[in-house]
Amino acid sequence: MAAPKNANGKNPNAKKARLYNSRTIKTQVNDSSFVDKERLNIPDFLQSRTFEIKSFELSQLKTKNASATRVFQSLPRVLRRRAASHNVKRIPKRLRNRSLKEMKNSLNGVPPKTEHLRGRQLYRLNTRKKLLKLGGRLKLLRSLPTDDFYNQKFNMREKIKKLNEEITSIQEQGGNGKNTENVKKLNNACGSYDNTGINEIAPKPRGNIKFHKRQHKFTWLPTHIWHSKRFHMTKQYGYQIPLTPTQKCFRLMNRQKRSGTILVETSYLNSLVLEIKDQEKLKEVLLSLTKYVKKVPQSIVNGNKSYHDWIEIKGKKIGKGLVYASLETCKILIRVQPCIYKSLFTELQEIIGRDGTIYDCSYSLGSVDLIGPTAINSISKVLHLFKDTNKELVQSWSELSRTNDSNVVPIGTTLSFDIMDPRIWKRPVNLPTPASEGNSSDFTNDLIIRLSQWNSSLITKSSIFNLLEPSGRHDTYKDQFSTKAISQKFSQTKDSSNSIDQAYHENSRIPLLITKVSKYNWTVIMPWYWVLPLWIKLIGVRNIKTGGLKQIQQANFEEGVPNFPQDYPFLKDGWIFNELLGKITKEKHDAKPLNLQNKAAPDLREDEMVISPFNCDWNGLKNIVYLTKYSKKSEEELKTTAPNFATFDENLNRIVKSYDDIVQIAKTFKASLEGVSVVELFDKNNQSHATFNTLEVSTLKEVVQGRIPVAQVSIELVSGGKIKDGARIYTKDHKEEVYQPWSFIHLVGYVSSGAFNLSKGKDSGVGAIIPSGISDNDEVLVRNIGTSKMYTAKLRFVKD
Amino acid sequence: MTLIKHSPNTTLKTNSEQSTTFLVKLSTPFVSAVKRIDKMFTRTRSDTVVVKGMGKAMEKTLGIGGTFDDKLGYSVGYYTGSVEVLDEVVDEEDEAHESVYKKRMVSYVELRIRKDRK
Repeated sequence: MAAPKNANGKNPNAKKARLYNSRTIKTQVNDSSFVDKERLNIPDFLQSRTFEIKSFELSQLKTKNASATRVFQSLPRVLRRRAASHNVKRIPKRLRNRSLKEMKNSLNGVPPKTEHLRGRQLYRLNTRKKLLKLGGRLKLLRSLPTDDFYNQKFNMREKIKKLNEEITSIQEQGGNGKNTENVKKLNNACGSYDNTGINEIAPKPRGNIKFHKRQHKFTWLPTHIWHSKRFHMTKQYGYQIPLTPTQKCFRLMNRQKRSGTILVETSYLNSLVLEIKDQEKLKEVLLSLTKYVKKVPQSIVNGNKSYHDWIEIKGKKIGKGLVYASLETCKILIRVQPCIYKSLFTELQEIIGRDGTIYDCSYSLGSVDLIGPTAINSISKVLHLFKDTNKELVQSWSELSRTNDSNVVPIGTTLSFDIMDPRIWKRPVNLPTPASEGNSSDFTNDLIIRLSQWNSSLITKSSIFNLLEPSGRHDTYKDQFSTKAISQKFSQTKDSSNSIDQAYHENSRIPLLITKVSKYNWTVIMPWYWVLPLWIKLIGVRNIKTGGLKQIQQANFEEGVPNFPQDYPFLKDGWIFNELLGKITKEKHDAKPLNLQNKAAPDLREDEMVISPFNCDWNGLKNIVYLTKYSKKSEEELKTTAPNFATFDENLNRIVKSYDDIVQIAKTFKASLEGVSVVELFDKNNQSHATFNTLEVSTLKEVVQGRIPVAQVSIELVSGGKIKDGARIYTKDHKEEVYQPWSFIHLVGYVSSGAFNLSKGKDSGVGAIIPSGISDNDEVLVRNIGTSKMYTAKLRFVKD
Repeated sequence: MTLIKHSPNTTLKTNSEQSTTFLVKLSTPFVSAVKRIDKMFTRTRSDTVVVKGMGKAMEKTLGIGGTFDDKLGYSVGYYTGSVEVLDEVVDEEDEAHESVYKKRMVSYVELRIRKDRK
């Protein structure tokens, strides 16, 4: 049948049909890639469309880049810098050209170059340049400026003259010129020298000529320049110490501590080496230094194990530190916090007298700390042992480096060996796995059992000798490669090669001492000028992140371990820290406008203020405890007796009848007691500490002069709540869940560091309490300053 | 004498291992464990998730296995084994506080939960 036609003689549905047809897509069955017009030959099909596919992919890439309009926007967060949009120097070198190009296209264009200096400023710059050149030349001649140069106040021209004189005197007759007595001859062109004080405190290291003026008061650590670009620094104990990275890192550091490694430079810890030829005397000194009363364990005397605990002088605990004894070399290495170092040094001088020598190695031994379970695994990637190292040691080292959890390794495990210059290798390398590798947990457990028996020899005698002896350390610097020399050597090797020519491998022998100082912390001790080369290589290991003092504090806090100095109120530095903290917090509080001062808080009501609300007020606690004893009334009686008019005895001393009497008397004591430490560390062998609970106080004088024994504790909340610094700890006898005017009667101590603990998922704290009547795992109540809510917490004593 | 029980070395080395292994502790809440394991399937390409529990946690682990098996309809494989742990004995009366380490074997159960439902 023919199609119907309209008046114009055309098919009325033709238009519609065309529309429908346009919607159906024609398939190309006649494409050459179709075999028999049924099967698709994929390679042919792809080849015919290569161009389209490629241009599609390219366009995708282009749009991705086009969205990041400027190069610095595509950088990872750690490489982003302030002012990178207009200052190309803030952008990584490899991207600077691109950045300049982008700046040309931008609205403002490339910023104009700053005009060079003129007149006096230019002259100053030129003379300075001249001075630095001379300094560099002196270094190349393997010498350092004399002490005069550093000590006397020369102006720039005089300094140049002085350096010129020194250079000519060295050049004349190969160093036999007129002024050569003071000239220090070095064995390397890097300026590394051993700065040890023999029976005296060593002079501060002079530093590079360019920076020596900035190191008069506060010594720079070997990695100072690296750190100062990336860290907030703090000036403490005569050093410039890295405090915390400038980048946010709180959660990162928690993760690293649980599964990676945190690297901290700890060269600010001061070390000294005792040399006593008489072995019996050496053992005697060792016993007097350590916490042991009868006998020092054989493993420590033998040097198989290090000691990291209380250091005692004349039976008094002065602080925690590291002691490593080496009978073979007749030496003891002691490493302590810098604030107690000088007193320790002088005390030891008295004890030893003429029987031995004390080497002050504060500026000749440096160290890094590795915190976290993969510490040894991470460091093993950059340490290359010599082939002549003891086989047993190599075996243990290889096994240690393969354990991913070094937390179980016994504390005190110590290894010592020589390594090659770590810069000889470009990238970190894994230690080769032995062919006879068994089940991983098998060898770890066997290794730990073997290590805990303390009879395997993991110490290389020559390394220990070189590390602890000034001449040994001096020799390690012989022909030390400069960074420039190393990169020159690398430029001569193939690009693919990871190491420079084997001939240079034996260039330097660096003695190391690696020891485990706590459950999660390893210390690596080495000569001062080898810290930087090792550091530069260590930061290239993927598992390692760097930290400072705050990260050590965080790691300690998360483990419930006290941190020096804030958690040691019975030590001088802890006491000063607490007092200063109180002053600063009070000043801050008083500077606030009245409406922002929390006058209604229970601590801050003037009439009830027995203890200072600004810090851990140990004086206040002592007054309360002694006055309660003085009253000869039970806590219950004091609590329930209502405040009344004051009553006095025949000597006009106020009689304590209620809690309010304690408040009134304590207030009169407050001012007279500032600046005197009233706490001492609890010692169960001390008779007065053991019987503190039953101590009788009969006069007010005893109250003023009394001291309280405290023990360090870590606490953890049982259920929800918050713990902050300075929180108060009450016994369970308090019963009420909110603050009461009589609450202070049940006060036993303070939390010195309290915060949310990422490892535990709830708030925890470290502090100190009067331990009498309280045992491990007891529940206590905790209240934060300025609040009235009490939280229940579980308490554990920190073990020595 | 104090006994310190050390946990076995359970560090998960590879990324794929980390995203497909679930270790059950005695303190792991049951329901949240089930939810987390269920979520693991959406986050990994692998079609099997391994759930392990040792010692006292074995009962809870089997309970989790039962839930996936019966209620949620996954196919679950049950395997047993033993793992070596270290016990540390500290002699506190001795001044030196030297520890003695001893090996001990502990049983464990392992569930292999497969994505394809029954």
